[in-house]
Amino acid sequence: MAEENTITLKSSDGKEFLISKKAATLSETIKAMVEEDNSSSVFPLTVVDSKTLADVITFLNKHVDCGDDDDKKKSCDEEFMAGKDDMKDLFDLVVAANYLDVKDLLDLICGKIADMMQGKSPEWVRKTFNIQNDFSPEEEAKVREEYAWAHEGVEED
Amino acid sequence: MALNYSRRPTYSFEDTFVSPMRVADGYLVEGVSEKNGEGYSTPCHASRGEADTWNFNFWRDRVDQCSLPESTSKDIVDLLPSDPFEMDIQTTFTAITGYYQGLLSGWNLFQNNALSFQHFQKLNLGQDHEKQHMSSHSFSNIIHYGEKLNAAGNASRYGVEKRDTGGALPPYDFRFQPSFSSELQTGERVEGDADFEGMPHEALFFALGYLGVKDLLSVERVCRSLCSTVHDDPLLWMSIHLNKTEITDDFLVQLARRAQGKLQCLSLVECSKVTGDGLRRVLETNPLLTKLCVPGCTNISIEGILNNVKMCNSNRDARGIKHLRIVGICGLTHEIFEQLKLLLGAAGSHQNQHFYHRENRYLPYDDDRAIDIEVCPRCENLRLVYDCPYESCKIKVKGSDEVCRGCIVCIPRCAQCGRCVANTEFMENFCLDLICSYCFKLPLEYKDMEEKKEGDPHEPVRF
Repeated sequence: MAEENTITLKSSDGKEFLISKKAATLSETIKAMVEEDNSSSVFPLTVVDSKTLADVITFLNKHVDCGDDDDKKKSCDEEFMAGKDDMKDLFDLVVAANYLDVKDLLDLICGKIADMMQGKSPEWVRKTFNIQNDFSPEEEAKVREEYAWAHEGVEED
Repeated sequence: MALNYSRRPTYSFEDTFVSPMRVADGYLVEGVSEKNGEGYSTPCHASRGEADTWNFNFWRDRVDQCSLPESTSKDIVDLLPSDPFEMDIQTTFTAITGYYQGLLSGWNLFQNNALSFQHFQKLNLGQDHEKQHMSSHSFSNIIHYGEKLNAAGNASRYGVEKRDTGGALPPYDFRFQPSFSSELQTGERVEGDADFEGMPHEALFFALGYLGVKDLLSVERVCRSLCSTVHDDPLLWMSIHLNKTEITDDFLVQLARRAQGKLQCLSLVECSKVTGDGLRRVLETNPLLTKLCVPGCTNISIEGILNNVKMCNSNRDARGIKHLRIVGICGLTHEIFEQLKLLLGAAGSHQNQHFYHRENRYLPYDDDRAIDIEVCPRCENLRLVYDCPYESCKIKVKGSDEVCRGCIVCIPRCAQCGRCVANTEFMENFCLDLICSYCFKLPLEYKDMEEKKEGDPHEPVRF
């Protein structure tokens, strides 16, 4: 019976994770996989590495435990996000959450990234996310002036 | 500069144009010298028509020289009339320009084909075809060079090429260019472009949906790909919230246009430059809009609001406004209020509790209420009505218990916690906000509060 209620998820680097079916099916992608193929119990996830998958599974398990209690979910989410400051990890989680179609996780991480970006200058965004400025000075000035009123209260470069 | 004019006509035309330095001795007038100023080499070949013009110039030079005794002065070029026989040289030049224009649009198309081929290769085939890529790349360079040589024929030549490119292709707008377009145009390769170094991570695009208007406009300035995404994705602009900005009607319309008609919620809190006309222009183009929040927008009149709501809700194609926030708009009368309520279809719908807070006086836009203004149960004025955070709080009025509910004038409330302060200690701060004794002491007693967290510190006041 136990085997029926758990499935194994295999990360892109070959590590296997046991997870209850109930938690796994919070992900729409896994849900569709399970419904499609009832016989097998190992599901390879080619785009999620083991570190990210471990995080996702922690999140799914926590949310299953919380049930429908929103307050509980909120505190679980805070606990989950504590210490997650590395941008690469956050990005990996976003990609995984999107691939696995876990809306709560996507909301949580994207909300965190958006909070970090709030009121920040374009230069800060470039530095933090390692983006190259490919505008010519004229284009940059044009974009800047177009909505000059909106840049009040936003950090200057 | 000594000009030996007598020798010039003895050259054959071909000879003259094969070795342009001999004629480029400062005697080339108007456009031709301008062209040299642009830094382009003198043309190696030219059309027969152009040669004739030049020959004409020789004659003109000679004639002028004869007629002007002071022609030995240094600035002889300045002394020459530009068109002594009134033969309209500019027209001749224009004709030549036209000729080149036709020729060059061919060149441009050819060149652009080469470039787009290169572009395609880069995207799909990557480095495996580096060699092939380089060959097409250098080919385009050759074309470019040839074009320059060809191009330098006359004055407006360079401008013509620019315009021509604009005509033959969709108008160039930097927003829509992929980030590597610039390097393609200059024909140089930037290192690391193959692995999208310096490009935003795909995850960042997911986070855009969680940003506010100001932050989106800030992110737009980061790089081209983010700029085009922010600018062109209507889903990011389905609801626009602005708080205390100096936005004008024109900018508002411009911003709302980004939603491409999909705008659903427009919330402008204390944006005092927006007028009823600006709202009308936005509403006309966005039939899906159902929430309109304009609290504290003092430049909008209540008639403007009423007309806009009438316009939206009588239009069958539009969804019609279902939620309206108009506190702080002058001139609201009971009559208009009733009309608005009828238009919104708000007949005694259930209302969530709304507590007073200094930072959040206005009803939040995500509240279910159709309209924020109410008739105060005490003074019967049209105002925002606040609830007391303590459900059990009752105030004795005329001998009977009444729920602690009313406008801020009837029931003064603490600006921090929203409780009524009528029967308790309170103080007035510098901003004329009332602070109850508990909230006033809060910073000092924060530690104490943390210790006895079990008990609710906000005990309701017993009267």
